Amino acid sequence: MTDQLSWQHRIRTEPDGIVVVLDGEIDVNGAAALLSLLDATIDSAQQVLVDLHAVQFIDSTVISVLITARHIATGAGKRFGVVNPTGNVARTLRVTGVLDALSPSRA
Amino acid sequence: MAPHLSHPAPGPALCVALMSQDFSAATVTTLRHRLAAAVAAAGLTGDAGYDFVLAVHELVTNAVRHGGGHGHLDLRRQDDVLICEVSDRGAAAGSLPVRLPAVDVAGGRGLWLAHQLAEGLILTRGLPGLTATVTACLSRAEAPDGTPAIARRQAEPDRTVEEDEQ
Repeated sequence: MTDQLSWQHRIRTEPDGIVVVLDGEIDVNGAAALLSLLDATIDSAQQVLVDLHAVQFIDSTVISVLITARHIATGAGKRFGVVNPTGNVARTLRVTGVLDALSPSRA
Repeated sequence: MAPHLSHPAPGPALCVALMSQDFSAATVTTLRHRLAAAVAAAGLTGDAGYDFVLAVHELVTNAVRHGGGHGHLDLRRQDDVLICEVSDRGAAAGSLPVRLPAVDVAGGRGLWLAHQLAEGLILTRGLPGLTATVTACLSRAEAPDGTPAIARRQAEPDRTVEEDEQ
């Protein structure tokens, strides 16, 4: 049950939209909650950026969530992207080939 | 007399059990942390260690999501090879997608990622369920250039998935 504490988030409102700042390790146990969070955030803003600078771990289920969130945003005519992935998280996004597709310039 | 010191006798490889643990959805994260500690203690560190742990984590996730919700992990060292076996009791029929989906497809990257990150991936379907085995070579991880598995794979163009039966 400690798994739910492995990550947290912070919402920052900026002129262009909302930045969701994530922190920690996110895996299959956090994927559903992350999707709900992103879905609700996209609902309330024209642009949503996910800041990954403080995230140390993501897996394929989190990649699925990010791509689903991008689909939700695009379908609603909104912008969604991922910024500041570092280290192994950036490497994981790159090796799965989704880093460019999730970058804000493509949103 | 200790003739084996300079010339090890051919025979059973030295096999050491490092970890043996049941898991379920609720313990995926804890299991990964224990695995990371065991893998580091065995000498697989840095990016190579991270890659191996993520590969195993993807197999564990697969077992939890598609293999009946729980499974068993065995980590052992055989000579200089780390071997991790993840078995589940899933009765799931059908294909095991090891192929990388298009960038706009949400799911289906787990097994591909495990295959990409580990030096070897073997999938065996038996009566109880699926057993997925990944390996990592410790001596290669200790190579002077320290190139992680991801970088090695990326340096080999078109090294895509052999298991893909298309």
